[in-house]
Parts: sequence; structure tokens; C-alpha cells
Amino acid sequence: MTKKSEIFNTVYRLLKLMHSFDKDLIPLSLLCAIFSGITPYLAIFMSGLLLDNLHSKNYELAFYIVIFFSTLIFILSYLKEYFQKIRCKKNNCNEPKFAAFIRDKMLSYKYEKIQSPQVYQKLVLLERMISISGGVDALVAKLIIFLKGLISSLISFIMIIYLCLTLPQSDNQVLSLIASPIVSTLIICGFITLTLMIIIPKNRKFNQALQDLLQIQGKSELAITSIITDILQNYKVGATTRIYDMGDMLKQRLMDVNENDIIKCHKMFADYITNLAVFHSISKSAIIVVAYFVILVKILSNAITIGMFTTYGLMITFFTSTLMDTLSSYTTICSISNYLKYYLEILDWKECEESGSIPIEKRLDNEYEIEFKDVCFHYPDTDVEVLKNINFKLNLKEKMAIVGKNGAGKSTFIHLLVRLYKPTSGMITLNGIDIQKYDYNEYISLFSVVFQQFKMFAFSIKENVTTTKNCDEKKLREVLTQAGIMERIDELEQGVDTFLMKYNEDGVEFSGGEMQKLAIARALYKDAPYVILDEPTAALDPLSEYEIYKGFDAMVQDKTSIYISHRMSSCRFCPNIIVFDMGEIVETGSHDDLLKLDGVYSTMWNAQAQYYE
Amino acid sequence: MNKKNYSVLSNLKYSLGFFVFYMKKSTLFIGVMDIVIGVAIPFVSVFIPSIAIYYLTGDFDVITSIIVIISSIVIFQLISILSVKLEKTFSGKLFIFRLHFTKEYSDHIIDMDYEAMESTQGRKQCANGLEMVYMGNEDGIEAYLRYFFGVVKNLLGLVISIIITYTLHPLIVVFLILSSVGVIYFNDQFHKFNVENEDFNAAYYARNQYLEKTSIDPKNIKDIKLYSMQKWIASLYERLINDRKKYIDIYFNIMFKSTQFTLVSTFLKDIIVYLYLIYCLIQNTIDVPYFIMYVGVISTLSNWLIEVFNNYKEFIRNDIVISNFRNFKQYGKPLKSNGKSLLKNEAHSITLENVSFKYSDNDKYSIDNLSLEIKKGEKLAIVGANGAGKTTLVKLICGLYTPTKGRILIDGIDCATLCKDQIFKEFSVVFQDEVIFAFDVESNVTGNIESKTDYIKLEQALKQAGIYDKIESLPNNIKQNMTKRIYEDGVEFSGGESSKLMLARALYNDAPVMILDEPTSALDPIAESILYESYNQLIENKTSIFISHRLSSTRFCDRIILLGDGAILEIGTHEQLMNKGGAYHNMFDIQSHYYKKSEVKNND
Repeated sequence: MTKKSEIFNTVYRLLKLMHSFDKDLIPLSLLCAIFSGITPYLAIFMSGLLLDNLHSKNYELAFYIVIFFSTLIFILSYLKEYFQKIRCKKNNCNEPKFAAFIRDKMLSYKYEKIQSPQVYQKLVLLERMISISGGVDALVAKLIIFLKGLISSLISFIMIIYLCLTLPQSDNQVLSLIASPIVSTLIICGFITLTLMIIIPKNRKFNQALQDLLQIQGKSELAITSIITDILQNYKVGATTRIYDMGDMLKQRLMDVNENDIIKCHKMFADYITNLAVFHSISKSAIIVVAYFVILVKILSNAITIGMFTTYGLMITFFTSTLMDTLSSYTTICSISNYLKYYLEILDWKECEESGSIPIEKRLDNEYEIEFKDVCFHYPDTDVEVLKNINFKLNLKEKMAIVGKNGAGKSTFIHLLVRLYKPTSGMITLNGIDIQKYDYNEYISLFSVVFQQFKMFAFSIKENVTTTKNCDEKKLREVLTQAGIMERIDELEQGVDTFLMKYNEDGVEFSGGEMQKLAIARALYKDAPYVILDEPTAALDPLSEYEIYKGFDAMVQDKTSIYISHRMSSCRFCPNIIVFDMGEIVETGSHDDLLKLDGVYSTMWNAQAQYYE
Repeated sequence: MNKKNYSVLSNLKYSLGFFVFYMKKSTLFIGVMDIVIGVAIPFVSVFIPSIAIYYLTGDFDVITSIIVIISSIVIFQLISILSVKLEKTFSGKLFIFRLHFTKEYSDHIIDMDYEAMESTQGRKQCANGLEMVYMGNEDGIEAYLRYFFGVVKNLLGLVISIIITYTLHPLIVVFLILSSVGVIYFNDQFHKFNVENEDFNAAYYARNQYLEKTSIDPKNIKDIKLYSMQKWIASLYERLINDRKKYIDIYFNIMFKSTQFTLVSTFLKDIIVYLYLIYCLIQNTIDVPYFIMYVGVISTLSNWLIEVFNNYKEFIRNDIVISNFRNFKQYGKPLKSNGKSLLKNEAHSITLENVSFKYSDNDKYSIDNLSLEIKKGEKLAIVGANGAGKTTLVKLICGLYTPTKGRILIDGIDCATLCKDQIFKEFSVVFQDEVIFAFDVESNVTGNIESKTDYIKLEQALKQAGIYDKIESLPNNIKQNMTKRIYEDGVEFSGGESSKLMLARALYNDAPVMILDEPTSALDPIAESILYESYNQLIENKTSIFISHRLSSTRFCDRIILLGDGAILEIGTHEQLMNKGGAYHNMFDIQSHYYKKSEVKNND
């Protein structure tokens, strides 16, 4: 269980953030809490007053009491509902607002940090928790209940004290003694305190157990979600599972996760919840019975009127349930803030912000010079050197190709160049200055990259290619034509506004080759001085491939371009071919030079060329 | 597939039947007890103050009064505790039942006919199926039963409170029902609004979820960073929130209208009922304890009535979910064989006779009147432009799709006479999209439960696919969990390694026909060349089909077909097609262009 101060701190920071989104929310919430805390007591007062007057046959006053209280209750309830309406309207968009805010912040952090699967898993789990148990909305709602509970408890407390202080007027010694202020105060307050002393630690224990269970449950939830959404509902996977008759295995797995983990967890969960509720119910009942006893004695000893039986009776019932609500709202506040804490943690990753502030000199002639100086690199979680002592200068406005076997370090080389990772040792410079010192966004604007596993998103083609809201329609058409996909798009009813993928009813599923063309169009649209293509044509048929390369040559004429390809032919006419092997640059030169070397390059070339001769 | 309508009664029988099947019969008893106690509580609570006032105002001695009143309070509290216990236990049981019931969904979807599942309708059906078990406790079978019990409980309470109120004055009953009808009307309006906006809501949640996951998925971060999509994503969220805001405004306005009406009607009801009761007191038709009882009963009556309708509404909404689920269970039911194969376990000949195929949501034929004979043990290559129908053809051959027209025969046996699972058994297919599950390596390759793994064969398949060393280097070898979707230590394979794993899966399966769809696109030239060289050995004694954009692969195949627009454009050996000088020749020239030694100049 997290410490109180930590919970307080989390709640405070979340509220502060929320306040920065909308200034009205907190005052409105306060109003809601106050009104809903007070209103129930009007009905409670009314019932007693009414009964007393009816008992003493004072019908005219009873009539006025009914009119007065009913009207007052109506007005206060109306106000409460009105504020509640405004609050709910404002509150309801807080969830996506928070999610957007966190993402915006997160995406400005270093790649190395945010690509980590742990971060992803934690966030997914956090947001799954939000969808199950509520996020900031629920937090505010629970805070209101908590506050309302405090207000109600205060009123109840005053009433209880008032009840205790009333003086008995009876001949019966025993009754008078019990009904005396001191004894009755001792009985009620003592008993309530005693019950609280039992409930609160027990509550905490239950809560801790629930938290632990939620942790375990989260893991199995992840497993079952993965089976259901990634496999069962995913028709693309269906072909493989059927051909290979994987049904039995899938059923077995699902059975394991569902029966052994999920159901077991939830059974325990349900038991906890039932036990907690029963326990609360018992405590409530105990307080109620004791309180009623005191009320009865007070009435029988003539300390209070008979009508007060209902007033105090209703009050004590209301008080006990408010007490339990308040306690459980506190528990919920703790558990919600416990998982929402991770949001705040993300905001605090100051050390992950992209470094560098030097602006990039804007040059129309694209005269940028990049140099690798003794660059070594290994990925943070392993010791295996992926790149060793890379020394290399990127010639200006030149077509360059990188070849090498799978795992030779080609893609890593690109990752370092575009600042996805930082060299473990050595330095990469742009016009003589370490690239880490440049403003990140400006530096990145120098590169158009089509990655091997590029990603497109389920939004309109237009937005996917331009990656902005506002776009230059003419340029868009131009790049789509260059990428050889304009015709296909024009065939579509909604043209460039068509949504990709079938997430939408009218979304269109493009083939792998078509997607690749869109990715290339996206790179062209960015129009940066450096163009990098990492296996861009793997899924394309020979004609499309040819078209693309031809188009690209024209596009990159006054730019520096780097190709990575397993199709050796596409590299042949690059004046500068770099051959990677085991993390090192082993050969450089033109196609003819390299063939003569009879090294790695020539082996690779011949392996492929033999089939075409 | 026609949609069948199921009656409420039949749906109830269906759901309760499964409930009894998965849970103990005694669980139903808990539900019944929950209803009985749940109905009793409000009435018992109403009688307590009446009893108390009766004893306090009458001539009873102090001890008797205290004992009677306190014991009635104690009894009431005990019932309340029991009620809490019953209610929580029962709702817990209903939840557990839904989890058990998931099996009914997953068993069917795993076996569902592939073609049926893949169609637009199929995906809707599958979503319907999922709604039954996976959308939380407000949708599906759990909610259906809970609301059913809710309707019964509240209906019972309503009847009793109407009877009691009736003894006061029939007109009061009429008045109370009328004032509640208003609330019900507004609730209904609200409900209608929700139904009308169901699609909007579903779209919102889908979008939100997509955006939520996509924007942080480690696989997307590279592109997001490199193309500075941060601002775009923020604007997508803004759009989402703004659309939502409009809806939320209307939503709460309508809700407020209903609340307003409730407030006003409660106000009027209170005044009228109280005044009438005071009138009765003056007339001496009732005394004070009765006054209290009537106030209590009347206040529950409207509550029962409103709750009956609220529960009923949700019950009926979920009744549709049940009907949909039962339709889902009938949809795409596969014909299952007895597991015996009618075919000999050896390389097959495959014949396609005038086969045409179109997707159910498309009016153009993807495969158009195609005839082809693949001989026993033949090595066939299929080439063609993107979208020529290569993958569709493969899916037809291996039985995933059924021809719209024409027929396919394996060893002369018409596939239409075979069950799908019998056909599937004869094929090992590596599809274009790599399929890696969040299981361990072993399960990924064998696709079967652990006890059935043939470890010798597994090792051999991994070696043949050239991925054995990689797997040996993993911390847990073949027991290593894959992907980081679930496991923190899950291993992620590169493109090349994944293709090799897919190949290993096909080799382990060792079916008489092997089909490889673009297996080399992620391989480097050396690995590609090794695959080509070992290809003959891999497919020994098998019939095989090889699809690739790398035309070099056609060189070691017996026959090549060039596919275009769903039809065979050219067919023959590499030499024959080259001599023909047609489309294939042209394609090959373009790709081999730069590999030729003779031409060294860049003509572009």
C-alpha cells in the first residue's frame, strides 16, 4: 500500500493537471459535494417534525411542514442536479484529454525510452485498468463522494452529539442513567469509534489483497486479450491456424488461461468483494442496533419526542451507509491514484527529453556534411557490439547503397544516423558539430526514411502521407503519382480521403505492395535533403519495383540518398556501395571495384546474379 | 446465411440451460433467494417504524417495548446482511458463468469456416460473438441473466406494493403509476437516443482505442518520430474529443430533462400523498403507525415501477445480443470429418477445372475461369504483378476458399466431397504475412499441444529452415517465449528470422503439398540462395508451389505460370516462356537487367 502522503501528492498533481485543462471543474465538483451532502437531512428532519405534529394532532402545522420541506428539497435537489449536469459534461472528455496530453509529452522523449516494451505494457495495462475501474473521471467522482461523506458525517455527528446531550426526564433510574448525556455519549461514540478501529485496518488489508490480485489478474487479462484479439478475432491469422490445424492448441491455451488463471482470480476477487460487503454490512448493522437502543431509551425517558425516533433512526441509517461509502471511496481513490501514478511518472522523465538546441542552418543547396567518427554501438539491453569503429563520411548529393547480410548492422547504422539511438562511443557530426547538440525536430527534418517495417495508420490516405492536418493538395497528388499509386487512389470513391484499413466500415484494405508505395509517397512528401530507403521494394512485383527506382532516381537528384536492399541489382549503379559485415564496414567502392575485390560483396552478388544469367 | 429470430422465451431457456450446465444447480437457488429477500427488505424496513411508534405510543411497559423494537431491528439487520451476501454472491456467480461461457465463443470461432469468417458479414458475426462474452458486465449473457432476475424481483415488489397501496385508495395507485410513466417516457427517450447513437459510440470507442494503442506501440514509434507525427496525433485526439463533446452535450441535456421531470413528479407526489394521508388522519380512517407504513410503501412503489422498466429495457437489449450470438453459432459451421484421411499420404496431383472465384463482398471475379493441372510431385512457380490473384489462387487450392464456379480435384477426388479439415491436412503453406504467436518457439512451430511434439522432427525442421542456431542461442531454447506482447522477456525476431521460422513450421507439418508465398522477400542474398539450393531437398517427394517476385526462383521450378487479372496469361518452363517473348520475358528482363554482365551502363 502506498503511503498517505504519496496518495495525497498524486491526487493533488492530477487535480492540478485537470484544473489546467478546465478551471470550472473543481469549483463545480465542490458545489455538487456540498449540495448532495446537505439535501438528505432535509427529508430526515421533515419526517420527525411531521410525526411529532401528527402525534399531537397539530394538522395545520403538519400541512405547512410538508409544503415547506418538499419545496426546499425540490430546490436543493434541482440545483444539485444542475451543477452535476455541467460537471459531467466537462468531466466526460477528461479521459482522452489526459491520454492525449501524456502521449504528446511521451512522444517528445527519446526513442530509446519510449520504444521499450515495458513502457508499452505498463501503459496498456494502465489504460485497461482505466477502462475497467475508471480514470480521472472516476477519481473526481469518488472525491466528490468522499467530500460529501465528510460533510454528511459532520452533520450526523452534530446530530448525534445533540441527541446525547438531551436530558432525560424520567422516574425510571436505569433509563435515566443510560439516557444521561455522559453515558449515552460513551455508548454511541464509543461504539462507533470501536467499529471504525476494526473496519479501517480490515479495509486496508482487503484493499491490499485486491491490489495484489489485480496485479496477477492484469497479466492474465493481457494473455487472454492477446489470444482473443490478436488470434481469434484476427481473420488474417485464421488461414495459418486452420491449415496447420492449430485449433486444439488454441483451445488448450485458452482453457489454461481462462480456467486456471482468470476464473481462479475472479473467484477470489468475487469472494473478497462479497466478504468485504458482508463485513461492512455487519458493522453497519451493529452501529444501527446500538444507536437505536440509545434512541429508544432517550424517547422512553422523555429526553426526546416520539417523532424523533424516525428522524434519528433515518439519520443513523444514512450515517452508517455514508460512512461505508466514504471509506470505500477512499479505498478506490487510493487504488485509482495507485495506477494513475504512472501517468505522472511519465511526465517526470526529464532525462529522456531530446537534447540539443542548436538550430539547423537552412540551406537551399542542401550542403550538409555528415561524418561518423569511431562510432561503436550496442543496444542497451545486450553487450553484443552491433557496430564497431565505424568511420565514414557521407558524400554530398550522392547515391549510396548499403549491403550486407541479415543482422550485419545496416539498419542500426541508419538508426544512429537519424538519432533513434546514441552511439555508445564515438561521435556523429553534422557540419563538424555533434548531431546530439542540434535541436531534435530540426535535425530530424533533414531525413526522409522508409523503414523496412514501415507503418501506416487507419486514417485517411491524405493524412497518412502528409502526416498533418493541413496539406498541400497539389504536392500530395504529385508524390502519389511519383510513387505510382495515384491511379489506384483515383479509382476509389473518396479518393485521397479514403481511410486505410478496415477499422472503418468504408476503410480500404491495401495490399503490402500498395502500402509500400504509400510509404514511399510519404517520404517524398517530406522532401528532406537526405533520403533513406531501407528495403523499400521487398513486396513489390518486378515492374512496380522498376518504376519506383526510376522515379526515385529523378526525385533524389540534388539530394543525398541511401539505399538498403537485398536486391543487389538496385545498388549496382550507386557510385558508392558500403558493405557491412558483422558490424563493420568491410568494403567500400563502386560495383566494379567491389566485384574485383572478390570479397563479401562479390559473394552476395554472385549468389543472386547466377539465377539471372 | 439467413438471420434467425429467436423468441425471448427460447433465449431464456438457452441462457439458463448453459448457466445450469456450467455452474451448479444450487447457484440458481441463490438467485431465487436473492429475489425473495430483495423483495422482502423494503417492506420489512417500512414496518419497523410503524411497529416502533405503535409500541411507543401505546400502553406497554418499557422492557417489552425495548425488547420488541430492538429485536425487530435486529431481525431486519440480519436480513439485510443476508441480502448483501446473496446479492454479491449471485452477481459474482453470474460473472464467473460468463467467463466459463467464453468457451462457447472461442470453440466456434476457432473452427469457423475461413472464407465465411473473412467476409464482411463474417467479421460482423465474430464481433457479435465477442459481444456476448467480452464486453464487460453490461453486455452479453451475464447482463442478460442479471437483468432477467432484476425484472422478476422488481415486478414482484411492484405487485405487492400496489396491493398495499390499493387498500388506501385505488386512485393513489393510478396517480403513482401515471407519474412514473412520465419518468419512464423520458428514460425511453434517453434510451432511444443511445440506440440511435450506438454506431457513433462504437466508432468513438474503436477510434479511441486504436489511437490509444497505435500512438504508443513500440513498432510505430520510429515512423512517428521520424515524420514528426506528434502534432498530427495531438490533432487526431482533438478531433476525437470535439466530436465526442457534441454528443456528450446532447446526452447530458436529455438526461437532465428526465431528471427534471423526476424531480417535479417526486415533488408533486410527495405533497399529494402526504396531504391525502394527513386528510385520512383527520378523518380517522388511519392512525399514525399506518401513516408511516403507507408513506414507506408508496415511496417504494414508484421505485419498483421505474426499476421494472429499466431492467426490462436492458434485458431486451441483451436479448438481441443472445439472438445474435445464437446466429453466430450457426454461422460458418464447418463440416468436420472423423479425422480419417481419404487421401494417400504422398505427393498429390491437383486439378483445377474452370475455377472462378469472387469474394462475397465483391462483384468482380478475382479468379476467372482458370483451369490448371499440377502433376504429382511437380514444382510449380506462380509469378505475376501485385494484385494478380496469386494468393487467392493458393487459398483456393488449399481449401480455404471454395470455388464460386468450377471444381478442384486432388488425386481425382472432388474437393467438394471432402471436409475442409481433410483438405487442410494435405497442405503446408507459408503465407505472405508472417504469423507469430505470443507462445513459445515450440508451439509456434508445431502448432500443437506440447505432449504431441515430435522433438526429433522439430529439430530437423529448424535445422532445415536454417534457424536452429538462432534458437539454440536463445536463453530458453525452444521453450523461449516469443514477442513482447505479453512476455517481458519475449524474443522478437527480425524479418529474415521470422521467414525462416515460418518455413520451419511448414517443414515440421510435412504435408504432401508445400506452398510458399513470397518466402524470400526478407532474406539477404546469401540466405535466399541457400534456400534455393536446398529447395529441392526440402520438397522431396512433395508437390510444391512457389510464389515470388524474385523471378530467379522460377529457375528451379518445373513449370511457371504467369498470372494476370485472375487468369493464366502464360504457362511453361522458363526457357519456353523466355522464347515466347511475352509478358514473362519482359518481366524477367526488367529484373535481370542490372545483373547482366553485358550491360554496364545506367540507361535511366
